Amino acid sequence: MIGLSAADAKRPVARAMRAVPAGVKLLALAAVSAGLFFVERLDLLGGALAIGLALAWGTGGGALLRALRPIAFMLVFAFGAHALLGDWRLGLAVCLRIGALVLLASAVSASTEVSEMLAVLDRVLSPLRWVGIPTRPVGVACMLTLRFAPMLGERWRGLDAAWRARSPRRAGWRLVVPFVVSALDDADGTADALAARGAFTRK
Amino acid sequence: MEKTVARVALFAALIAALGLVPQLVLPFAGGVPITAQTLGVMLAGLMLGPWRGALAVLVFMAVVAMGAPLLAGGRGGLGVFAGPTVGFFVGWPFAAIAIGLIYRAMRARAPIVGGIVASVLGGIGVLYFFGIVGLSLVTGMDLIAATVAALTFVPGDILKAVIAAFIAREVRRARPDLVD
Repeated sequence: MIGLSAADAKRPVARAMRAVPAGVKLLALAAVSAGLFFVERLDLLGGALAIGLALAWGTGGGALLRALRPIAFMLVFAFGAHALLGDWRLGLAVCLRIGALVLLASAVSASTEVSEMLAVLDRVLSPLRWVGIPTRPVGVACMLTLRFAPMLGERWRGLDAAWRARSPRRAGWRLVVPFVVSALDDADGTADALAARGAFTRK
Repeated sequence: MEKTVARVALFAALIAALGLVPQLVLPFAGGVPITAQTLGVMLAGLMLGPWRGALAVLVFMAVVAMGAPLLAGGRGGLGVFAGPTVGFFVGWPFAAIAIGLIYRAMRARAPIVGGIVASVLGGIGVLYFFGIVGLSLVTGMDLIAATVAALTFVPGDILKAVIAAFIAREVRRARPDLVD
């Protein structure tokens, strides 16, 4: 998560989770995710869900709610479909498994800085460098995306304000094309700035 | 190189912004709230071409996987890859490739027609294939039940395909140097 509040850092679970290296957390998450798909027993899946709940709660209650709310609809639908077809136990197992995995993954995300994740990504991609493929543009593109996202919001608000200063009508869709065109021009400007600073020249 | 990286990042950010800007969140279709984020995938395929469009989608997915809460509704992090809609997420780069390739193949037609056909075939046909298979694998529902669940999103996605084709045509008209 990008914004870590000071209150988060005071929680012991959060601090312990954050102390674990990002690569270890990711490997553990991958192993657990793969393993849980072969588990059918409800008590084991329930235990996994409880651990996921505890870790997600420990790393911040907001992340917990954000992780579960959007998948609730699909979980209810899946449980209903299984229950109608006669095997509610399988439906319950599916819901417990998805809930546990989503919560564990959220806990890992909430306790790992984006910069740490970028470092892991760079390490994962490093074999490409041995065969001569540059990997630096990948990291640069990721950081540029994080910078561009709020910039696009500002760009839209600017265009909207300019429109409303001149017209009593709402702008709506009329701004979409100028918005994309001006964003493209911004990107080209950024490209020039990168080139001027020798972004991808070999050292 | 710099230009490619910047444009790829721009479209990755555009996909993110489409999930955040409330003006562009479409209202309800079939009772399920839908967002404009697949519109960004369609635009990436139509405007950057198949391969750079797919790169933009992959960069967006990488940033989300690393924890940036940029999916619609402020979602992000690795939980996305464990949820029931993981198939749609994984299908995005393939949808972008399909959209770009089909749009190129239809270059002789009017751009609005090519854009709509490419967006519908890639953004609905290809994307739903991945999404439905993923939904079925993760939830254990059979393919028919998963298809029924996914079909609620179709009306909104057809609307997005038309909007994407229109925007792509207008932007290409304004910036003709935007070659694939």
